[in-house]
Amino acid sequence: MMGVDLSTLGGLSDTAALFGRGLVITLELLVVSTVLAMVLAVPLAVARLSANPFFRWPAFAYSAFFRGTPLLVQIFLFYYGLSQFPWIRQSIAWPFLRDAFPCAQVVLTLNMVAYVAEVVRGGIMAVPSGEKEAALSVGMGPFLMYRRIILPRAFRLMLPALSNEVAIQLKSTSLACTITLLDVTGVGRRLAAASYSTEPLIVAGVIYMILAFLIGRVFKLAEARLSFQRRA
Amino acid sequence: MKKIGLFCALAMLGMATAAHAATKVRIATEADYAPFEYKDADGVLKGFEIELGTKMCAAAKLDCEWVNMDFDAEIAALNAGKVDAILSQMSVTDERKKSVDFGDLLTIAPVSLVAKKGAAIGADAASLKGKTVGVQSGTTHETFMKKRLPSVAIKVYQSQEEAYLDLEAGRIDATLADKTIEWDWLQKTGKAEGFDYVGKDIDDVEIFGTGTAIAFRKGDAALRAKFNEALVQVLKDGTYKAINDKYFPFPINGK
Repeated sequence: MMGVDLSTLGGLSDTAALFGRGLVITLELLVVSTVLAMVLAVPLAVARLSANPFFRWPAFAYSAFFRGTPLLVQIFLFYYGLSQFPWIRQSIAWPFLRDAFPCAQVVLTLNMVAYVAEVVRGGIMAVPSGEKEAALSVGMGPFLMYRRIILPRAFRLMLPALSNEVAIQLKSTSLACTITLLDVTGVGRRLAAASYSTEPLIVAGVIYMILAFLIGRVFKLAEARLSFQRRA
Repeated sequence: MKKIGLFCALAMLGMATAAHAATKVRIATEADYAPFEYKDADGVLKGFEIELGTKMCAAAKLDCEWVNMDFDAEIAALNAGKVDAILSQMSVTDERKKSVDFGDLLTIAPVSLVAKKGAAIGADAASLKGKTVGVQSGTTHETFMKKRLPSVAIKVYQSQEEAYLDLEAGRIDATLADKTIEWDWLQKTGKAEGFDYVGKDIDDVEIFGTGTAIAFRKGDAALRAKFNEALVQVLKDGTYKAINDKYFPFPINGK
């Protein structure tokens, strides 16, 4: 980090403080989008599996858009694209879309929902049909069956895949720096630009690696706690 | 044995192409800075500096190749040997002279704020209080805002185009850039949307330097001399003026 001219960086006292602030933004983007995505993915997955085309087709179209287009394009469309329409600038959604942070939060969440829903869908389909039949045979309705039997069972089956999604989401948050946010990548890029060196980007990379490692550990622990072997 | 022979032949072929590639002069530019350097709808590089640079390469009998990259990555790329020169409206400043050698001055452009026409703002902390100014990352305009107006909120963009989009969307109140660059946008869309230059032209030699020039790796005197000679030639034979008049209604080399 030698040779970084911090005087051109708004008078902030040191590089660590800048990366600290970047880390807070990265974690906020990751945690909020991940939690919201996991909650919203369940109804989307159920809609994808629904026999009713009025649920199935919109869910399919949503999934096709968010999984079929690059996240960078989605971020640009939401941030720069929507702001081109005067009626959007006058709408109630504008205070939300005006600022880069909530805008990034929205896009990251919508994008992750589509991917997690696929994982949830796979998890639901992997629940043995005998267990569903058993639930039906004791008179459970579809809602109770999902809540008591299918989702808890599917959740355990999904954990390894979810761990992967969260690690990918961590790296996806770095695209927020393209709409002026100073997350870990944003700070790294600005410091790199000010010092004409790549060292700040190496620091940013190491921060992501440590975070990804920690995410992996958390999921490993959760898997161990929820495994059948230990419960037997 | 046959295989080894083939391998050696391939290796030599590889070396030959590498040696051939080394004779090309790779020039970094950022094709998001119309009218100096941009890509047309077909993805072809165009602009004042692209034309001028191509003519200068021809005058110096150099085989040049354009390399498009982010502005704030250009000096690092030059010093890493990924490119041999930077022709990207780079202002000559003392700060940059620590990292690169500059050729003779190529363009001299004043700096100005652009905002809603008639907005009562200028480059002073009082009139910009509570406002946000958009600048491009790694430019002298960013340095100016941070050093001269540290109390004013800024937003830093990867490209100047994005600053214009946010100016139109009302996310920022003004943008600071070279008048030549802003002129192009004002002509195309800005004026129609009610934007114009506001305040006085900003003169700050310490930050903006004396003008823009081609940047070379420190100590690469041979290439620098070739381009300086080429510049003298294109100025003398009228090539520079012809390209200037094609893009701007005013001379941009201070003459």
